[in-house]
Amino acid sequence: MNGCRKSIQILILIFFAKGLLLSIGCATANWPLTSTQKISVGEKAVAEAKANNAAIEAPDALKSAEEKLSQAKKEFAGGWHRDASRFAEEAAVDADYARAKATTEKDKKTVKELMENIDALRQEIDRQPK
Amino acid sequence: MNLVTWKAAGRGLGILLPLSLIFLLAVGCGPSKMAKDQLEKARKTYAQAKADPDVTALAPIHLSDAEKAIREAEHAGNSEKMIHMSYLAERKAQIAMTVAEGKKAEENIRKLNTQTSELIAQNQKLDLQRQLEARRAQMAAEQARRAAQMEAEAAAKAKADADKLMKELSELKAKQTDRGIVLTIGEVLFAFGKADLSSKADRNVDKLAEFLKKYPNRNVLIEGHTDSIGSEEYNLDLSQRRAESVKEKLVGDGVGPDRITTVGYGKKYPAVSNDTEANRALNRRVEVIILNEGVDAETQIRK
Repeated sequence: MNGCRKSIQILILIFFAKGLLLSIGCATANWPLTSTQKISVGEKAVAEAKANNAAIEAPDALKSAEEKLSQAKKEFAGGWHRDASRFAEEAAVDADYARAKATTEKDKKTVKELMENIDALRQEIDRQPK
Repeated sequence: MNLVTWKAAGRGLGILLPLSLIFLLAVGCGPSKMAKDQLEKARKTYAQAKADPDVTALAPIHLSDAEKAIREAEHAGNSEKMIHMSYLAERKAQIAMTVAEGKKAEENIRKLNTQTSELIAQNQKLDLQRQLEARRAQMAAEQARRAAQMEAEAAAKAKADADKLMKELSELKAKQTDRGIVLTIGEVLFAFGKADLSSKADRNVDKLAEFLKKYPNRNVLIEGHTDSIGSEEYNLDLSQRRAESVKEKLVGDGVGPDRITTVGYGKKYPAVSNDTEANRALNRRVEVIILNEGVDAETQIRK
């Protein structure tokens, strides 16, 4: 009986030790940002994407970011901080992607316009008597 | 006390142990298929990004962010976290590709801007050249117009001069021919077989001398003719003497002998047919050709 107790005691110890380690792990994983901070990062990312015309150039990614951001806020209000963090993180990458896409598309349009300009200039030069 | 605690702990264990086992089993089973699929999708996107030299060159930080997220997803303790990290990883790989594409576009914009400036400069240069050429052409046209005007004025003056000459020579019965102004001295100039000028012819030659002195650049070719009576040799000689007598008279009147060329044609070129005495008298004549300026008399001699 005594031996049984001892083994049970050890098992309990191992179990708690594991729990402790896991909880430390989780804390480390969330470090340094709290879910509130992550939401604010997401909000900033969405705002920047909008400022860069993402609504026109990358509407799908921007919509996804906005939806996830509001979901993050909802989770946070419900006390589900881990879910709030994840939604906020996903909202941030969606917004970053939307912004990058919008900037790139704008630059690509500029490239196209410049090429057209150059073609026009070349034609003008060719038309001139040599 | 101690015992009670252990008993309670023992009861607690009755619940906790199965729970712990379930937890361990769940971990042991590994991530769900959905999580694995999501990770695979992220890996593919990341591999695509990494394989693109533009991405490794232009968006290395974004690419390494994506790689970190992939590693995290691979080491995720549960499916939920794996799905989440895989999603982040995939997006980050997409961002890396998009950023690289954007950087490339920026680079192109820089190059194209330079090219545009160069072309604009070239265009302006050509434009300037064209303007310059247009001005040059305008100047050339103006010059040509002025030259044409001067030429027209010169031609008008030449015609006026010629008209004046003709008027002055009208008394000498001059006529404009393709060889120049030809005048026949007198109507009945020479007696049959004679080379002496009649007194009427004398006056005409005086007028001619006066004219030649007024126009020192006009030389004369004097051509002597005879009627058809007599041998060819005789008539050639007679016609030459008739031309010479006009020359002598002109020289006597003060015209330089070097301005005067004489030739005798004999009976070769009658003015009219020699069938009557009156006609023959017309053929006994001297014709004076007032040469245009700069024309060599030798070139005007008939063959």
